Amino acid sequence: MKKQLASIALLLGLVLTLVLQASAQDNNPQSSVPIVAKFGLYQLSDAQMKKVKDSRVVTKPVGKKLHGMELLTRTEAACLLHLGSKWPIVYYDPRAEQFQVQYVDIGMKLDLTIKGEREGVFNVNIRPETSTMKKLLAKGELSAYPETFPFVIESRMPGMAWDQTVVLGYVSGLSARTFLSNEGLDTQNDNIVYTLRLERP
Amino acid sequence: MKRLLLFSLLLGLFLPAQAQNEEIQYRCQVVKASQAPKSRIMTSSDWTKFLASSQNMVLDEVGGIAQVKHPFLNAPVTKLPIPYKDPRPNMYQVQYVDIGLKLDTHVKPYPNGKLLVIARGERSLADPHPELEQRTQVFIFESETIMKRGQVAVFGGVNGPLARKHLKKQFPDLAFSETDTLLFVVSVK
Repeated sequence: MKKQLASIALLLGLVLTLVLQASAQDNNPQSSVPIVAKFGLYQLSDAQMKKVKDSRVVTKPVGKKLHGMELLTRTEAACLLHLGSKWPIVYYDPRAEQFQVQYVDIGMKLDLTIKGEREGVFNVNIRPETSTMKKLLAKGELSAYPETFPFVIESRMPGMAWDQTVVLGYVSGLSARTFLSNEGLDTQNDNIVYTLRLERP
Repeated sequence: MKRLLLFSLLLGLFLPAQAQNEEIQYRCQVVKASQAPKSRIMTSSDWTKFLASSQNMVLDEVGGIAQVKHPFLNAPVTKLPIPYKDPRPNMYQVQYVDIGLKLDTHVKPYPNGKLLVIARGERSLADPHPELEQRTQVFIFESETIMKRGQVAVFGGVNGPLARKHLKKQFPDLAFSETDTLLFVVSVK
């Protein structure tokens, strides 16, 4: 009888240990994979553009790199990166009956969530944004209001594999020239391409 | 029998309690690098070698000791006021923005002795332009990854000619070439 009770007590202790240790893990997903997401914005000539225009995957980035952003993340986690400025705009919200401060983000931003589809293959939700301030529209008593020119792509890229460089989107012609001139860059090669690459850390 | 029961209960309570009270030493660095590191998660000795090579430079740093499972904040910041007039009480109100280097982190235990590091780093500067005093220049990352103790993780990086004009505003006294990269780095041990 005593032996049975001793065994039950031991088992109870072990079960309690396992349960408490499991709760200490905070339900972390076991299959989460660390990833480096590398994003690039490139300026291309017409000849370079022809090669990538209808491609989903390019062998290596071509053209002049305008900027690069990279984030170390893991699957299933939302992450962001921002280099630039935050411009506060104060306004009165009549519904809340109080003043609110909203921020206009200028510069380069990357919002990213990578989900594992199967081993080595990922679905990527991505929103890169590159913006510049064109001018201040007005400077009132409380706020200055910047007129911005953002280049944004919001996309879901399924089936991305390791070390693939994927073309997320492009802009050619007048819109590209407007963007380049607002950024103070040469407008002769008026093609801009956004690319994304996933690498092991 | 009673001893065994007591021992089992203590075992059940003490082990997880010990796991929850684990301490870590953390460090967050903003680094100007002339080249990208070979890997983004590396040992601290590899990171030290990387920093010593070429023209890599730590520009700003915060660090300390924290407890696993408890969020922690290290923010040696200046509070920048944004005043606005509220017509209802007919008086001015002030909202504050933090300026400086700030690390907001939550480290959780992860299977196989690893750590899940959830971090938000921000390095901000009040705009030097006198007419735009409310605007702030920022470098922000918000992400999470899995690390081991003694490792260094490069959470974020930016480079290129478009980034350079923002980097010059962030660090007015420094020169940045088109290939220089600004990195946000977190280490735990």
